Amino acid sequence: MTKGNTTKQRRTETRNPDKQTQTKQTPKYLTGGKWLPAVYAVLFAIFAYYMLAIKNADYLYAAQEHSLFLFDKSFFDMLMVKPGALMAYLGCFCTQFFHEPIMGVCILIAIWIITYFLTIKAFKLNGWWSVLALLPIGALLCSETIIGYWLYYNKNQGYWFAPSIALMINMLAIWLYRCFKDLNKWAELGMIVVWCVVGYWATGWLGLATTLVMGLTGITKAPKSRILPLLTAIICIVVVPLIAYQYYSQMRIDDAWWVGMPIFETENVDATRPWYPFIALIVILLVLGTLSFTTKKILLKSKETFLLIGLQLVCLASIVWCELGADFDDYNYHAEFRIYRAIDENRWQDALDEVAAVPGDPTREIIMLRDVALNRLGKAGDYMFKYNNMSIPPYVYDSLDVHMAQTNSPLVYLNYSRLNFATRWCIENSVEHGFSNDSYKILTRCALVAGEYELARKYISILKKTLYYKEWAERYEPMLENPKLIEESPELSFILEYYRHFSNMLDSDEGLVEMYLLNYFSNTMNKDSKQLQVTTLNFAVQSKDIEKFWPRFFLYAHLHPGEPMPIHYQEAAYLYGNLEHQVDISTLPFDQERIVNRYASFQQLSNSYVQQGKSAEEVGELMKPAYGDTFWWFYFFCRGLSSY
Amino acid sequence: MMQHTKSVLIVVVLTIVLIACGRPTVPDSYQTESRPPKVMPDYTDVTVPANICPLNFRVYEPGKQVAVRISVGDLQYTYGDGMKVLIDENEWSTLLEKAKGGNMKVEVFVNEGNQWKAYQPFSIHVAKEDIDPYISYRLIQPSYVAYGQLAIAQRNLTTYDETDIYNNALVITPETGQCINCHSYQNYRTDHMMFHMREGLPGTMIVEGNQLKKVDLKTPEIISAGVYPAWHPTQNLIAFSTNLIGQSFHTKDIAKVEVQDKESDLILYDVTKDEVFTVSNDSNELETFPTWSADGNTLYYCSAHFEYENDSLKDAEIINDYRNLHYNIYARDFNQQTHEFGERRLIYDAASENKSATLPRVSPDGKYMVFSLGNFGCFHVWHAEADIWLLNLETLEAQNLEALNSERSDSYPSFSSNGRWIMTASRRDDNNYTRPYIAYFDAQGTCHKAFELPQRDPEFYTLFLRSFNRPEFMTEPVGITPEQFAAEAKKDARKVKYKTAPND
Repeated sequence: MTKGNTTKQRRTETRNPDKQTQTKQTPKYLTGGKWLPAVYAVLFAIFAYYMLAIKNADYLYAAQEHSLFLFDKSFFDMLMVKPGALMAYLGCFCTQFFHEPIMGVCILIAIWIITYFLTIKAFKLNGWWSVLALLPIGALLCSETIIGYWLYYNKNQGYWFAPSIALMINMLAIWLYRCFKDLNKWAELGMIVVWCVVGYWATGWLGLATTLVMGLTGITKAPKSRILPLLTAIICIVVVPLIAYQYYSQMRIDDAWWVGMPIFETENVDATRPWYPFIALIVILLVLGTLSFTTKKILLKSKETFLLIGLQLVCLASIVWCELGADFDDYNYHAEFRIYRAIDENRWQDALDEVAAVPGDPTREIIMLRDVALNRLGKAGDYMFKYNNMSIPPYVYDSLDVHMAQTNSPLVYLNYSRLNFATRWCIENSVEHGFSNDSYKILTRCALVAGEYELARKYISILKKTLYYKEWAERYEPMLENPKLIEESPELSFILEYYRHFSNMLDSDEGLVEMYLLNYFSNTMNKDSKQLQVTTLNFAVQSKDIEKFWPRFFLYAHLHPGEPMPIHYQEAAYLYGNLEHQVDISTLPFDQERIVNRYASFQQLSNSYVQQGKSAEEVGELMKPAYGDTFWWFYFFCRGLSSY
Repeated sequence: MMQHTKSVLIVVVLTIVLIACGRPTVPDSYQTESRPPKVMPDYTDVTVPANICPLNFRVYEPGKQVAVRISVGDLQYTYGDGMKVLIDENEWSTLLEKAKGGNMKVEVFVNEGNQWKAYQPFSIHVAKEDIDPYISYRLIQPSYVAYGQLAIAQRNLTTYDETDIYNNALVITPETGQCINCHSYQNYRTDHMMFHMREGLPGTMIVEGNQLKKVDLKTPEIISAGVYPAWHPTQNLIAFSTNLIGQSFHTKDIAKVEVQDKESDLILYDVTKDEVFTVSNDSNELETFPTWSADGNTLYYCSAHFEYENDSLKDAEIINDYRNLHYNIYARDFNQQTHEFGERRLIYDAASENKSATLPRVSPDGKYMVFSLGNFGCFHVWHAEADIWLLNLETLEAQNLEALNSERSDSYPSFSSNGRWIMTASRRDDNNYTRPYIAYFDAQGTCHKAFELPQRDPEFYTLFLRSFNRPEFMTEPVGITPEQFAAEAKKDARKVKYKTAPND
């Protein structure tokens, strides 16, 4: 009791010397560093949440649609064919939670925050130095949003989580290594060897990088004592992949040291930009491993203080700046995801609302998806030119050649019931970039409509092993035993109606989806199905081909007696009748106000602009506000569009 | 205290072990169903060899738990893991040994709710003759132009072990995809074997003993490099077809794709001398699918007669006429000393019946030929009506091997080295993914019901999205490693020389 009191008294004395004396004699130190890690963790979490859950929710939903995780051992076996594949497996597991983007983002942020604190531990980044631990996870944040259209060409399974989980595990390993390091030399060397083997098996290239970091740890402090660990690390890094190559029959020797590193390559393009975050990650880890960070107290207003505060600002600013730069925020890119999802879920009007909200010129993909929705709602004849039909190519930051065959074609082909083409592109794309929830959903519907029930059962069985598409699969499953349900399904009966009225032939789309559909439907004549006939007329109108238009127009009139003629069909008929006089249109009951009078004013205005010496392009621009919603404007001024 | 803890631990461990090793009990009371159960793969009343791995299956009947009793005489074992039947390999061997030349009885009981149902028992017949211990196949997604994840794999039939012979992942890059195909062996042995690589790092990989070489079989005199191969049974010679292959897509038909030869000829490659010469190149004939008789004195092949009207419209003509291409089977005598070929003679006239015969293979005893017969064309893997037929080479009478066939495509037949087993690449499961089916072919020339290649997980085929292409029997595994093949693949292909045919 007495002893305790005495100690307490001494402590109090130490902490509370005479206040006046302290102010004068004790120097002021930079304080507050204790709370910084927590503050930074919260700030980073908020920023990451904003960038991902708020700005990129549509993209992340699409990411999980293009990914796959099956609760089945065969899926695990299928993936475990390379070092680092465990991360791909765990990455795929976590990616599925982007189905609820907020949940997926929260999981990702949780991994990052754990990684952040492990990094602090691993590299002893206490207090003010803890800002440096934000850099690795900052690089990973950039990697999430940087890929743009590479989403469709991404061969890196589990991409959105795999590097993050791998980094977390490797930071834990470095921390443990630090603990081992101080035990004895042999324990340290043993840890390097063991981690090179285990880390490489589990996390691939990052395991090797971590082994090097272990070898480099503290080299600036005591270079001589680090020679043996560094040598051990280097030997392991060289030898372990060479040995592994003998056991993995699906890994190129050239890739052995980079296995697991996300790579974005196609036949003609080797993208470097999506690689930047990972290059940054390696550099940051090596620098953190090489340098040692002082824990001494730093005087306020000293040069070191300014440097340390500057470091905080530079690190925080660079993370924000890099992420804002890495964020692929092209409006059309995001709109495509939203429209695609709406169509996949049969929310046709939502898809059209999204199309209407596009601020500038949309991509051809958006226009194709729009036409799918209009076709479904039976509104194409009245609305297809009410939307902006001018288009721009998809925005890419490198020479990536985006083709619709590799992006949305399976869904578009499915909706036009070109089932073999939908199946073909699903399979081709999946062979190249991996099967996904999206591909299985399309393959299921194709097989059901085509009457391939055993095949559909196969795809349904697979989807039933997913977490989020099990319910979707169970909705379609009863159709396997009772095909009448297909006819009763609003979604599939529409596709089935086309399918029944198609004839078979040998053909190819040559990878040009839009041109194929335009040529196929505008050249098809069918009087047995009103639905198919309307579609052939819509495509004939879009083809601007007078010869194709008239027979389909009159067939439409014949099949729809007493019904009002959709406005764009009237516009086309009135224009062609006046242009070529092949068909006597004087007896056709055109809408006086919306067609006859409006066409007269259209002509009058365009003639006046021409007389003013304006170019066709200028005339088109000037007339767009008043007549951009007509077939006439589309016919004369919507030109030079290139599909892809 | 310590003693007590130890005892508890032992009890817990033993309980876990017992639960893990527990067998389902066959119920004493049950309702009876007068039909056999629906099981996948369908192993009801199949005939299997005595050296096959366990025939694990899943029961597709309403219920959550199955109890299956497999018995041979008084020897019996019970199995059941949910609705799956996973058979212990050692017990299976014992059952096979005892049932050799006889039958196993399989009784299936399913628990639905609290009620057990007993289905009509079925038999698994066990033949006296073994099967070759290995088969190999190409694992390929049923894609059309993309070929990522392609492998030629070998499977031990006595176990479930499967390993890659060669995997294109060892060499492909995004810039250079690589197609691999047409693995072939001399007389079921793997010390003389080959396969092709196309697109990236192209060439034909030849194995001669422990030696590897990659050759380029294309010369200016022939229309393509070698395609469909046939090793001569005794000599270091390979007969190849050379083919200009095209594919078109059906817009509606569930066959999906039509693969056609625009032109095709036959060549012979001398492996030792690296020389090729033309065997047959009639411009009005599409010769393909060579195969040797067991004694090596006859070369069989298929050929369709087709006359182009306009050379500049060949593609359009052959596509438009795709339903009128009918292949017959022909034979030409072969002199093993001079390498001269005799005149062709018609062996099977499919065209006269508006049919098309492809992929002939001769039995090791030389008495029979099996081939795939469809309505038209040469690529029967996409033709649902295609069946395997048997031709008696003495009487030239043909018959449909109904026990082996299905309503879907059955193609690429082959005999085992003892001639008692016939394997086919069948799409009967779902019309899209090709699976190996094996049937017993007895000494009287009767074919028995085929069984699907067994897998450890009975649901394997549901989830596995690759086709088993060109299944071939082998008497031994391939000795060259995939890495050795990959190293050779990266080398430049050796050009072969063209020489005039001995007949000319």
